[in-house]
Amino acid sequence: MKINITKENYEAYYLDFLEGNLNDIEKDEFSKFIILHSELRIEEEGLLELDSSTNEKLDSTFTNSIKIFDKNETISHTTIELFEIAALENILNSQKKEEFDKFINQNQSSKSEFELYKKTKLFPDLSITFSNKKSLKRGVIIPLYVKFSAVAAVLIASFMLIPFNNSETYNFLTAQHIQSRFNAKKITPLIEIKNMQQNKSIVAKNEIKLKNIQVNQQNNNQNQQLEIGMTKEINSISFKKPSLFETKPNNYEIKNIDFSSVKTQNNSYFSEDNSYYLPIEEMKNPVPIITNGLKNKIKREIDFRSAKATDKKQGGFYFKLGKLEISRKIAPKDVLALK
Amino acid sequence: MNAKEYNIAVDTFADNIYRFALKHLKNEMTAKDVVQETFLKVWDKHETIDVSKVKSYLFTTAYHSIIDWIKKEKRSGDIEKVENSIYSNNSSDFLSENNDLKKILDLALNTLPEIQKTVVLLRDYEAYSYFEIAEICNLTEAQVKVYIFRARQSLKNYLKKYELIAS
Repeated sequence: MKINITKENYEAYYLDFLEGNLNDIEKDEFSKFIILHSELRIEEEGLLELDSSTNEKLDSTFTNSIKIFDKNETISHTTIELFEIAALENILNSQKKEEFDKFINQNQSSKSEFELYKKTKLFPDLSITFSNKKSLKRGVIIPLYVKFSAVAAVLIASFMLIPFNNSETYNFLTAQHIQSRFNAKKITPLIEIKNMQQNKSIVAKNEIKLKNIQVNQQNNNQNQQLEIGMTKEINSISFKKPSLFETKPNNYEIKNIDFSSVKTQNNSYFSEDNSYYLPIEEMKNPVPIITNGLKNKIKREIDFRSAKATDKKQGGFYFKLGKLEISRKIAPKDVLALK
Repeated sequence: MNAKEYNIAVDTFADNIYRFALKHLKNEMTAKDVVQETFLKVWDKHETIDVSKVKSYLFTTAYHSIIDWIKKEKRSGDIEKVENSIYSNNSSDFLSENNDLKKILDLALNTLPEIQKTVVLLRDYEAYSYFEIAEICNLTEAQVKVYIFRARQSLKNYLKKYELIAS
């Protein structure tokens, strides 16, 4: 096998040469190398002549520099330098360290030398960093089902953000709206009512409203006018408290506009049995594969249901992720037609 | 080693590899190239690399890249020119202005043969054992000890020289 001795590895061969570990071929190659690179011979103190007949001895400093450190050796002036380096390298056992410390303290020159050795310890400059780590990184392979689920989540979120045009219907229905829609002959604008009768508009909760409306629908006063306004939230209704009518405490009358069609539609909307109401359980999941896949992956409850609004029934959607629940209801088309 | 573990290795060791390369090559662009090359080679074989040994693998790869770069630059003569321009200035003015220990050690480090510089950097910067350094540099443990001992002596003698001049 050809041996390749270079400037980078010649010292290892030199060490083996001194220890007598080179075979004849290696010794021959090493000799040729040193002859070709005589400048190395000059730099290396005490380099042996390669004429094996010489009895020249190596300089002890150089010998020490290539010796294998033997921790069992006695600490003396000839070996102290090796022990100084060993102490710096932290490879002395406790007994030898004790001996070393004792020797150093008794010899000022060795102590100064050791102090100098301590300064040869190198420390990295942590301010030097590789700035563009991002260029080294690789993309993490995302399983297909996770990608699929991420797309589904984006679609669901987008669906939730789609402005349902139905929401516009939840504007406060003014008397003007009702007039234009149903050609009402006699309509009192809300503002006028307010000013004239010093009414106070109130937004009440669903159950209260339904109750009150039902009560007021039994009122047979022909002069009553119905004004119904709906806020942007479904199932909330605002109405006026007329001062011309006798009212019981916490009970409000509605001014009825006597339009049979409006009245009919309103009755159907505010019917006592809430037949327009669509429970979540009756909504259907349009993407069961996605929700089931996500559910299995993230080990959390996921549910998504939707329903289209019909003439008589609400529509909307329902989304659940763990403890988070979001839902939106859309009024039946009959109600939307009021606009 | 998967991609996630590889990316963690980038965050953990890229700076170390860069400092190691920079100390050898004394050129930021070349040192960055070595870092890129090193991580590219590790990525090519990431499936066969045990994540617990990625640091050794990185330094071994970086070391070989550095040696290749140095050989290439020595052939073109560039590295010698750099060494001559920076490290031959021995004027007394230069010495008096640069009595900072770190700077002197940097100069001393650059007088060492590459193999000695490598082993002492791996020892001090990365706290590798002799056995680990031997694996990285393809040496025996005994050789590593010798190189470190010689490197320490050279550094000490360099410091001593400057102390004598400064005093």
